[in-house]
Amino acid sequence: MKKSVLLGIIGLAAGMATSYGQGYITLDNYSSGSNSPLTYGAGVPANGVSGAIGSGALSSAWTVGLYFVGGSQTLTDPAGTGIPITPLALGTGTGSTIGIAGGNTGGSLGYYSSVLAFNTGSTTFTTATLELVAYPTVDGSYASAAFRGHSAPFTMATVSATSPTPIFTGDYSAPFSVAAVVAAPEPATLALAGLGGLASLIALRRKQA
Amino acid sequence: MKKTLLIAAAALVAGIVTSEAQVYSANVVGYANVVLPGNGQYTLIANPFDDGNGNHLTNLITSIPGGAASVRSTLFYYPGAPATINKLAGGWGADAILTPGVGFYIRNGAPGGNAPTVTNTFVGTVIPLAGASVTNQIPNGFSLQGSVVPLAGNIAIGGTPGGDANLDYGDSIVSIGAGAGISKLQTWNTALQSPATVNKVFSTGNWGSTVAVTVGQGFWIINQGPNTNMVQTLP
Repeated sequence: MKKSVLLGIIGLAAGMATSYGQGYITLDNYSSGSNSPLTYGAGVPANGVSGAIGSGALSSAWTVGLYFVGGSQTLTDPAGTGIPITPLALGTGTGSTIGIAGGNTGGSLGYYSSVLAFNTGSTTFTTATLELVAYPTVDGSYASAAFRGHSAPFTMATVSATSPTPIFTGDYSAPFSVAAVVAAPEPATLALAGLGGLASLIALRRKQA
Repeated sequence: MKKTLLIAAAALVAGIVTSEAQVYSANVVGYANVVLPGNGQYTLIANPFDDGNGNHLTNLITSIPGGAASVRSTLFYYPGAPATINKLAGGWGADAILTPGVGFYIRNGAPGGNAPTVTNTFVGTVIPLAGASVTNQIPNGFSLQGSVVPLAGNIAIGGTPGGDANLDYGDSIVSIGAGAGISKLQTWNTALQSPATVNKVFSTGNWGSTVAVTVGQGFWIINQGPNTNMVQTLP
């Protein structure tokens, strides 16, 4: 047991050590040649929480992040408000999120441009498959947001540390909108609602009797 | 706006040569220490001095390990296209001329090879004489640069179109359109081992954030505009 744990730690260290300079991408649709801003869907508050409804391109109250997996994968997951599907995993750390309409875009609504690149950490793949997500910055994460959106999956190249060519997500991802998350009721919730209705019916009959 | 000429890591000596005709020539010489973190990590640097011997890679970078692929160091540079030179057991596999103003990456050892961090000392002469100027060409497209004059400061200042006086690389390039027309400065964050790219915002003509460099640090210029020049003067 101890031996396997030790080997695991060594394996992890080796994996981290070999990740230098591999597989960079940049969260950026401002520098891309072919893209459009991220936008509000119907009925979404401008600040992503409450109040006036937003329209057009997203404001600086929103953040872009990513879910990814190394290599080129064919995934079916239309743009929407759900959690990106497996095997996509949440990207964390340097360059994994960036606010919309920040300084590096000159405050351009709906556009994002990260200064720091994101390292996929892959030593095997020169491509990555991603979905971009957008959520209110105040919510802290895509998963906890009541208003949010994600792109359809797409595959893009990655570059090495010394490449002169930053590679931008906006050149590969179609624009998408944010919307309210519609929670599907769980079976237990439906059962409780049914019991509540039954109790109300019984009480009403007793009162009539 | 702070600018430091040969800060703590560098020392200056003014060498004054006097001829019989009482004509003075003022060369400025000095040195700069640049840290190269080990274990396969990258550093983007530039030679800040003319070493007086042709500025050969084989003379400038000597203290990092060579050998098999599992341990060796590598130079990455950009003489118009990406190029690499490995350091083998017997030394660098080829030579390169690394004059002041040319940026280049050093990968100290190979990932997992446990190469130690080393400090590389550049020694030599500042290229322009005191009071004279030097011009560094900035071509359209990509170029790996470094300040010809060994200065630390801001090559671009966020919210403005340029950088510090005499280190004003930011003012020498422009964005020519939205999207792919945006010019950029890209540095290498050694601590994070990540590139950092700042835009010259097309709509305002200002930099998206400040880009600071130290003496001996290299940087990319992604110039979407025409060929241009950067002129620096040694005070």
